[in-house]
Amino acid sequence: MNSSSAQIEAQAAQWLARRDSGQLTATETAELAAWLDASTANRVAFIRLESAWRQADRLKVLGAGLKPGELPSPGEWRHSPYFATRQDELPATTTPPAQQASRRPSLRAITAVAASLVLAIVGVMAMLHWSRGSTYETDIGVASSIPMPDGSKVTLNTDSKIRVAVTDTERRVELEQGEAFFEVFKDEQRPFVVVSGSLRVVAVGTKFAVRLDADQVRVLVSEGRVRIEKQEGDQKVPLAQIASGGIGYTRGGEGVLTQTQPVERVEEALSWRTGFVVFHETPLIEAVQELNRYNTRRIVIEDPSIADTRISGNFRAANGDAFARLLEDGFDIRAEFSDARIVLRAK
Amino acid sequence: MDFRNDWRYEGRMAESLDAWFAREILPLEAALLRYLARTWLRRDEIHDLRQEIYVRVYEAAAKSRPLSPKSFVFTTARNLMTDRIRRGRVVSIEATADLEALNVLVDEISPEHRASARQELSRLAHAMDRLPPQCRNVVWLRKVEGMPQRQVAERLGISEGAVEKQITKGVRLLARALFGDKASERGADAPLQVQDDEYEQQQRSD
Repeated sequence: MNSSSAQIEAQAAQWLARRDSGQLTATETAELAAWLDASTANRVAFIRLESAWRQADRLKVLGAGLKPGELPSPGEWRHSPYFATRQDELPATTTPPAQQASRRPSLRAITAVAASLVLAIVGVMAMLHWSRGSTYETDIGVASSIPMPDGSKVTLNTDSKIRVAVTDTERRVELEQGEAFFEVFKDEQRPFVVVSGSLRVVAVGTKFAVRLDADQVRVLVSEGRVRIEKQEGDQKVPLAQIASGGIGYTRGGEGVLTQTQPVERVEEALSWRTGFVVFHETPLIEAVQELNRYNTRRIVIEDPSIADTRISGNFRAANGDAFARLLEDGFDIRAEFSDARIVLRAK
Repeated sequence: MDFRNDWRYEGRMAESLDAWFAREILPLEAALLRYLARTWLRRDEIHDLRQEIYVRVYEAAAKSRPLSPKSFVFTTARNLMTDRIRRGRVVSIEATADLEALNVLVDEISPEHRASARQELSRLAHAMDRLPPQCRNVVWLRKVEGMPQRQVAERLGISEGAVEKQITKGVRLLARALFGDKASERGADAPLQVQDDEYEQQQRSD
């Protein structure tokens, strides 16, 4: 009879702890390998614990602000600069936090880790003040999902910023920077409007993304239909309708260029929601520009001869390193890594 | 999602099956456990079911990776439960009565694809404080301070074997806190415990 899953997990934990001691003998190493090969149940149990143990390396940030070797009592580490408040561990159902806290904190001023933690807190707190208008923003390399009280969902891409206001007549999101994907809950009484300058993208129940690049606005529709309008004084002038699979481009609302793609292509262009970017025969220079949206360490092409190299594949958006290494493997391209940037040259 | 400090960094091209499993499947654990808890009334079997689902998914993925890991996991879960009910290994009326529930929409149960890195950090940090005291000390020194096990033993004045034992316990508790379903636990602030005894008792009574 097979041993129970709990027994297997206990054995996997023993092996992991033994290996973690750094003192596995050659015999033990072979025994571990044999144990892993003996059954898939053993292997998956080990992968699971190993993954958790490795991720626990992130706990290092808790030690910030404490003396080495010091053992704080439970809760004490939260005084470290990485945990400026205790709100992060409170579920949203507890007492509403002070209203001022829901306003934008100066995110750029603090470290990346702290920033993402604070962002999570702001997310929870801002929800409580939704109707009064709230701002959400993400740092470079971070995407964040925000549920809206009307049942819609907004996913913010890297380095993006929106302001949200829900009233009885309109659900309004102002895209101030970057890109956001909207899954709109159908509500005929309250159109869902994404505003960028004088441009309005109006949806009823649909899924679409709006991306702002300098003065270019791009609208990708993966489901349903949206209308693009221009606000001129009190008038709302309709410019274009875009159906699923459509991509609309405009600068300042002086006409909209539309393109129809298979819906799968539009979905691919939205792969950032799961952390990936997808390229199909994309010139390297464009791929690099895209990657650079997600990475603080810029990738730079120093050699014009490689700029037009065509790239295809899925890549982790916020991992410029891996992208550069894969380029080295697949093309005659050499990457030089420094703290501030990754330089690409022909081999 | 914060991908910057993610150890899972890898182009999809050259990824081992193990890494794929850790990246795509483990983050679904909380949703999977919620699904199992809703449809399978024998609580004591859930750990076992979860394990068997992982085995099936891993073995299938060894042949070819599913395009949608999420729907693959939930389909596997549903098939496994259906199999168990049909094979009569479960005679419990409650379990069969709830067969309908197997068809609930997966998306309804797992609206989030995966927890963000900051949620994971927050979960880990919170779990850290709920470890039994000595276990917490060991994990703290090992993970936060990055001390090797031998040094942890010296610092705490315990044997290296005892350190290893605490890590054995700690890693299981951290995995549960990280991947598992927070909501289904007895209380978010309750101390974490390894539940071997419970499982062993059930084994004996089966």
